[in-house]
Amino acid sequence: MERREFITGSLGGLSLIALATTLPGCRSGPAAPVVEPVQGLLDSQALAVIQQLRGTTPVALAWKARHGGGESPDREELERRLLAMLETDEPVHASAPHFSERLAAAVSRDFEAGRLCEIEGWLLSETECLAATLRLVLYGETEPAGATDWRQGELAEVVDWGPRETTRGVGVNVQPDGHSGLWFKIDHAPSWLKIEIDGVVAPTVISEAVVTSGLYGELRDRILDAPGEYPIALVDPMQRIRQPIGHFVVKAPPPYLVLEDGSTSVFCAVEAWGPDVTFAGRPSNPQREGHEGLWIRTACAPDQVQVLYDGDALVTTNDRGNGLITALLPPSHFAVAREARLQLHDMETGEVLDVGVLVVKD
Amino acid sequence: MIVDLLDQTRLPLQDCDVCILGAGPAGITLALTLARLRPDWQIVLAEGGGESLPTPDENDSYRPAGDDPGVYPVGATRLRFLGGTSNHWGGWSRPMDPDIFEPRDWLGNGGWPIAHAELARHYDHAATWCEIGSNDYDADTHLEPWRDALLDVSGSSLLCHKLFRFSPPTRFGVRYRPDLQDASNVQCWLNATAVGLGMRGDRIHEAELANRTGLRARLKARHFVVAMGGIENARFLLAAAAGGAPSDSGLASPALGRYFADHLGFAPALVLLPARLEYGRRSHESGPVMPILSLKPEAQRELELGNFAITPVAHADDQLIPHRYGRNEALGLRGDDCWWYRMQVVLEPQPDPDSRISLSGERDALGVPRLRIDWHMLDSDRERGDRLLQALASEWGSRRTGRVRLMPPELAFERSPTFVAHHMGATRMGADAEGSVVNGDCRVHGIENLHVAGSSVFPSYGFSNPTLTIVALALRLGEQLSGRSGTGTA
Repeated sequence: MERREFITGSLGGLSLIALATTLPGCRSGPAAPVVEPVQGLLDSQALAVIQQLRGTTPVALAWKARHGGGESPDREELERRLLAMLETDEPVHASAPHFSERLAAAVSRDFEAGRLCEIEGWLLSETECLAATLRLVLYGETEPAGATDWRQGELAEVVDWGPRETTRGVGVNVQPDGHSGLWFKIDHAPSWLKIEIDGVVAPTVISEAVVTSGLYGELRDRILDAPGEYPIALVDPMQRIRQPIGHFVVKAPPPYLVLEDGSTSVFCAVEAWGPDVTFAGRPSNPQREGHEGLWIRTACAPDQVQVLYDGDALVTTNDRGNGLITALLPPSHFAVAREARLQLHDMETGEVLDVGVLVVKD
Repeated sequence: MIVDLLDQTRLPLQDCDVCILGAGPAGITLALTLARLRPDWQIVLAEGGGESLPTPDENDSYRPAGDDPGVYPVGATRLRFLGGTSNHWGGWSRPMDPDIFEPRDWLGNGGWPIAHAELARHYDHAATWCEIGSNDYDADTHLEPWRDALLDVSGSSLLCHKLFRFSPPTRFGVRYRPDLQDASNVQCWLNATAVGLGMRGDRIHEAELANRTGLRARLKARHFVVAMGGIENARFLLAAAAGGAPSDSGLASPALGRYFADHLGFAPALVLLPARLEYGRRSHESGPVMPILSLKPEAQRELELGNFAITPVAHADDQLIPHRYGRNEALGLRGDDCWWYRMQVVLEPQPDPDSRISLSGERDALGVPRLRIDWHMLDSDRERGDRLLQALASEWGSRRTGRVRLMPPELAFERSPTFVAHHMGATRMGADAEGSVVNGDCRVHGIENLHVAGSSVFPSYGFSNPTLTIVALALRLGEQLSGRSGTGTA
C-alpha cells in the first residue's frame, strides 16, 4: 500500500468564533486544572480538552518531524487548521464539551472520507494528528497524571498452582529449552491473562486445561540465584489489574557438613536437641507408655535416619519439612542413672553423626 | 480388508465395481459410504503409500521437477499414506459460506454449478465423520455468552462474526482403519500407486497400479474416482490425458491443472481495539468453538472483496501509540482502555488460470511425469488485502472503535501473504469442459465413469479449511454413484 500524503485542511472562508463557557471538561480522565485563557483561537475549555489527550506525544513528534521539525506549523496555524476540521452546518464553538464532541465527530468524518494521516503505519485521522500536535506545542510531553497506574483486583479463580518452591540454584520442572515451568489451574482463564513473576510479565500460554508460564532467561537466573520469596500474580496488562496469588520460594541450600576426608556428609549440623537431662524412671518429656520423647533439630537429614542411644536404634520419625527428628526412648533405657551417647545414623550410607550425651539422673 | 501390495506379486482382484484412487479423507469416506449403500458392490480403495509416515523416498513423487524446490513446498504439505493429509490436519472445520457458491464477477468467479443447499445435508453427516460435536455454526447463538469479549459488529458494520469448530482432529487412516478392515466388500490396497488410466471411447476401463517392488498391474472397474489430493489429482489426470483423451472432455480442458489455489494467510496490521477482546478457541457444550471476524456478503459486494477470516490476537506493546490512547474520547474513541492486537487474516484468492500445475519431462521412480507448480499471488489479491485494511481503518475510526497500523517495513514478511497448505482448484467444477474439468456431480466432463473427489474441484475458495467440504462432497458423490441415499453414519 502506498503511503498517503497528509492533506491539510483549509479554512474555506469559515469564520471562527471562540466561546468561553462554564461547561465541565471532557469525561476521558481526571479533571485537569483549567488552563487560563491564552491568546489564540481556542478558549480555555477547549484547551483543557486538548491538554487531557493521552498518549499522543509520539504521534505529534512524528507529525512535526514530517512537517519540517522546528519549522512546522505554529500554534496559531495548528489551531486554525484544527478548527477548520470542525466545520459543520452549525456555528463553530470551541468550548468543551461541545468542542470535545465536535473534535470526535471530525475524526469520524475524516475516517469516512479517507482524510488520513499516516504515522509509522498507523492510519490516523488528520484531525487527531493536528490535535495531538497542538497538545505537544502547547503543553510539551508531560502526560496527564494517573494514566498508567496499576490497581489490585480479581481476574480469575486460581484452583491450584505449582511448583511453589525450590532450592537456590536448582531449577524446577525444567523444560527442554531450560526454563523452569510453572503451571496454574485457573477456571476459565481469559486469553489476555498473563503471569507476573516478581514484577516481570512472563511468557504465558493459555490452554483449556491449564495455564503455563515459567522462569526464563535472566528472570530465571536472577530468581534461582537468590533465596527469597518472589511474588506471583495474575495480571491484566490491558486494564492494569494485578491479582496476587502467592509466592515462589527459593530456599537457601542446607548446610551439609564436611567429613574429615573432604567429602560432603548426608547430615547438616545439629542445631538443637533435647532433653539433655532426664531422670531414672521419670521422663522429662513423657510420651505414651512411659517413653521419653527425644527431639533433634537439623536443617537436613536423610530419609532413612535413625536415632541411636548408646548404639540402640530407637523408633524415629523425620519431619524433613520442618527440620525435626523425633524418637521414642523406652522406659527400660532410662530406668537407672547413666550417661548415654545419642547419634544419628543414616541406614543407607551407614554414616553416623554424634548428637550429644543424655544424662539420666537418679 | 486391508492388503499391502508390497507383499503381493499380483492384484488380489482383477475387476471391481468402483475403484477409488487415494485413501485420504475423500477416498476413505467414499469407500465406506459406498460399502454401506451398496453391499452388492465390490470396492477397491488403492492408496499409494503404506500405513505409516512415509520416508523421504516414499514421498519423493511429490518432489517437483528439477533441483529447484519451486515457490510451493509440495513435499511439506502432502502425506502419502493411509489417511492422507488428514494425518497432519489441524482439525479446523467450517462449511463453505453460501455466498461462495454464487457468482461474484468482481472476483472473476462464476460460482459453483451446485447450490449450497445441495451440500447442506451432507455437511451434517460430514461433521459426524470428522467427529465434530455439532454442525451448527450460528454465531449469534453460540457467541452470546461471550458478547462482551467480542467486537461490536452491529448495525452498519462491514463485519460479522462466524464460527470455527474443531475436529479432534480425525486421522482418517487411524479412525477408520477398523471399518476398512472389517468391510467385506471393500479392499483397501496399500502401496498401490495409480500411474495411469486406460480409456476406451468416453469411458475409463482400467487403472494401472504400481509400487516400488516392481508390481505393475491393471484393475478394471465400472466407476473410477480420483481422490489423490489437491495436487496429485491434477498431476495424475494430466498424465492420463497425455495418453490421449476425447477433445471435448474434461481431460482435454484448458482448465485442467490451472486455477491452482491456496488460502492466503498473513498478518498485515496491528490494530488498537477495545481491551479484553477474546478471539481464541473456547469450550462450549457442543464442542470447542472459535469466533472470527468476517465480511458480510453485502460488504464483499460493495467493496468488491473476497471473503476473509480476521482474528485479532493480543500483541505486545506498540512504541508509538500506547494503549491508553483509547481513552481519548475527544479523538473519536470510546474512552475505555484499548489494546494492541495483531490482525491475522486469511484471504480468499481470486481464481487464477495462470497459477497452475503442469507436467515436466522428468519422471518419478514409477514413471509418472514429475510436476511443476507455478503458484503466485495476483496483484489484485494484494490490492484486495489493502482495500480490506483501508475499509477497516475507516470503519473502526468512524465507529469510534479503534485504529489500524500497517505492519512496518521490517515486518514486511508478515504483510506478505503466504500459503497455508489448502490445495484447491486444479480440477475445478463448472458447467462445461471449456472452463472446467468436472461437472456439478464431480464427474469429468465427457467421461462417463470418471469422477474426482477432493478440494481440487472447488471453483472458488472462501476461507474455510477444506476438509469438511471435501468429506461432504465425498458423501454426496457416494449417494450419486450408488443411486441410493443415506450417508450419515461414520
